[in-house]
Amino acid sequence: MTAGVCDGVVLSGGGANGAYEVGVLKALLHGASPATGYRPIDPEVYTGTSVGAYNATIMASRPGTPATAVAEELEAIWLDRIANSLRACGNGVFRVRGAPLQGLDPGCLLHPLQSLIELGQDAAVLTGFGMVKAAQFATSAAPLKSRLLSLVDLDAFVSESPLRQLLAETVNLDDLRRSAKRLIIATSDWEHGTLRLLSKEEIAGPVGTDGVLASTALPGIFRPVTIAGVPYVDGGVLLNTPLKPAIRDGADTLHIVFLDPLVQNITLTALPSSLDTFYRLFAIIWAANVRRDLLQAEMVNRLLGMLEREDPLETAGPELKRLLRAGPGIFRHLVEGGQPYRQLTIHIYRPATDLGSGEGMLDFQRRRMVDLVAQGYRDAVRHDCEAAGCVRPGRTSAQRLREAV
Amino acid sequence: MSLPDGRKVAVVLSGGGANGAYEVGVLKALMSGKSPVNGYRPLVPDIVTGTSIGALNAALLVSQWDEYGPAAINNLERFWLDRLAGGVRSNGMFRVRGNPLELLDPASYFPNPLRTFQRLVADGGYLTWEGLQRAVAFATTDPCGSPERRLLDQLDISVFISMEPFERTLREIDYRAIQRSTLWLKIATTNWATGELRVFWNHDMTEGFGPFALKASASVPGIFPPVAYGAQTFVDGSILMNTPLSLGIHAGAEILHVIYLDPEVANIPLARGAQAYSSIFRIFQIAWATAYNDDIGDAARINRSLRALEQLRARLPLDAEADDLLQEVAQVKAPPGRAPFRPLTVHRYHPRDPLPGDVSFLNFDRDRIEELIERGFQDAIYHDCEESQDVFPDADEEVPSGKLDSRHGIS
Repeated sequence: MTAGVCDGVVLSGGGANGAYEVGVLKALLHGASPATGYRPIDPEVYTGTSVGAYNATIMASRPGTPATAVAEELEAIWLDRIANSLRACGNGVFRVRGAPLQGLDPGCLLHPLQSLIELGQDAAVLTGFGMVKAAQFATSAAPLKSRLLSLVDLDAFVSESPLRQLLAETVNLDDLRRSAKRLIIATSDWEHGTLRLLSKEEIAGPVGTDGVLASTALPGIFRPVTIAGVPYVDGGVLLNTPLKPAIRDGADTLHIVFLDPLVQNITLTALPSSLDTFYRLFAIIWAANVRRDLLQAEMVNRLLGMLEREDPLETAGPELKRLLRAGPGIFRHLVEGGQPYRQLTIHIYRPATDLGSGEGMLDFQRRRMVDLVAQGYRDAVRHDCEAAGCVRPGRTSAQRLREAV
Repeated sequence: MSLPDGRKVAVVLSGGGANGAYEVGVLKALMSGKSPVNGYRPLVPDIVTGTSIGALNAALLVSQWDEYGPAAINNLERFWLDRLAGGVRSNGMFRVRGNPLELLDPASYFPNPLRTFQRLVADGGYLTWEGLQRAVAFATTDPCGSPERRLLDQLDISVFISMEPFERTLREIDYRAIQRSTLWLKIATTNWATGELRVFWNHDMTEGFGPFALKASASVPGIFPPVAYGAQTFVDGSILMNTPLSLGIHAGAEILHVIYLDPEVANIPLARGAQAYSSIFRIFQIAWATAYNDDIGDAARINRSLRALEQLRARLPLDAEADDLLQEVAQVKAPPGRAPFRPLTVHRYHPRDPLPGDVSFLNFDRDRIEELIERGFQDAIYHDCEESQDVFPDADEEVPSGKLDSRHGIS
């Protein structure tokens, strides 16, 4: 590793698609990616949102274990604990409530019956759900509009208890406290509508693993998680890719993993479900935020590049600092982070195609998890900065970046 | 049109569905010269920008401007009360499909007693057709797909909502007058395929395309279907820019009157039940409030950056390249061909308390519309720049971090 380089990994939210991040991590930590010059890295800073917060917490809470071994363990957690499997009768993240056949553990039955039972289960869920809702609709005294809108209510039948258990069994807070790594996860304050970043100290201390649970609580599907009397939900509402916190924490070589392809590569289906629609909506908002961050990072490099060349500006200290403090996000983070200014390198990893749109986020089938890990690994091994629109020191490729992101 | 000192004035109208009536009230006070903000003189803007319902208000205003001037606001108010207002059965924006309650409403039998039945039958046909397609899709989808995934595939609220009333409303606007107008119109939409902001100006508002642009700007994804024009699909601009302040700034405005509809997120009570749709509204409100605070923060930031840049220039001679880069870094670089940025004044108008009504942005009840117009009017008449945290060119120094940059601050 080059002296002075501080590697940071930024893991985005995206539900079940988070398995893709495991593949990318494996490639980076094993030195299988051209992004690190085929050198194994051991990142010091991890930031994450939602499922990325879970992955980041695992990576940062295993002091004394080689990074590659932690990545292997994370993969095992995904395939053995998180994924649906025939033996486990469900996934490790959520359980659909009220499915009439759930008591029979259909997942535990033999293969030939599997799809038949799923079909029966679907029909039962659909009918049961539809009938309950229709009855509510017909009998409710509420105004028509709110009755219509309350027809869709997912969190009534999705329980997060498996995830709570998963966290309890895979995250040791003492280990996290002892770890030398830095960790920041993003959650949203549901009451005030503001971002709340949780540091490693807070998670290892007063907040506990509820912080990670909150970061994954996608509103409308899971219930908000209450910490110290305040309800929190998925950080993805406000910041799905926590790049700036990683920069503020001193990382100058950043590896960002996105779980959404470019918006134009997300399939527009003829019969979109509301979930597909909201997924696209969020993908658009997230992409706009990240595009802005990356353009600013590019600007940081240009500015620092100029400062090295142009002596007079060095001497303009206070005025320049005032200008930067007045400037948009990243510059203020650089000034306030108090780290010596260094040019940024940002590598971007993202699936080329749609990972199943909205539903993909909830599809935890083991076969799919295996494929996603493999896809993440492959994408990191074949990483091509030109195509991915990386930010690199001394380059002025804002135009190309705009095209690529 | 501009002020005597040559400064350009913009009116910035946000999205927010039925709550857009509040904007009408504020404009009424400003344009009839009843607000202290404009020295009790009628406001004469150079630019009107709008998103979603704000785009409709902006287009209506611009279409009447050349003929009526500031008095056009009276026509806008009448348009809301006569055309847009109405219950869920009869408003000028949308209709819930297949609503059998319509049969019980005597008003729906005038003027054509058969119309209600015809619509119900047509809706029945539409919903059955949609239902059939979804049933086929369900049966033929990979049977190994997980049940929850296939269940979710079948839900699409927007199937139940018809925008036909809004389409009819949109046909009543004089698009030629918009194209000819001396008042500059800019409306924001989102390209649904690429996820990029798409802005339309006066000259885009042809009789063929204008109604599509306005409908698109109001088509909140998930509630209203996206709007296709040729090969392109557009949705509500509020995803990316609910308060089109920067459109006004980039058009050269130095004095901006910004009307914003959602109150502070913390003032909106949490829904008792955690229903998906109320959750999604809240997400929208949070995203909007954040984007809006960023926008307002941008206005204050531009003023601070311009000052800092001046000080830097005074301290040392910057060559053209360095000056250019620093303008970019501080994001105070004007678009090519435009005059350099100058310090901004931003007046903000927004309801302090949650607006009345259930699912308020879909509630076009006439009483409510009247109340909102009155609230907007009162708020503008009693506007207090300090209380509203308006932005002024000489306003001072460091704004506490975290306040403006809530998305990224550690709280």
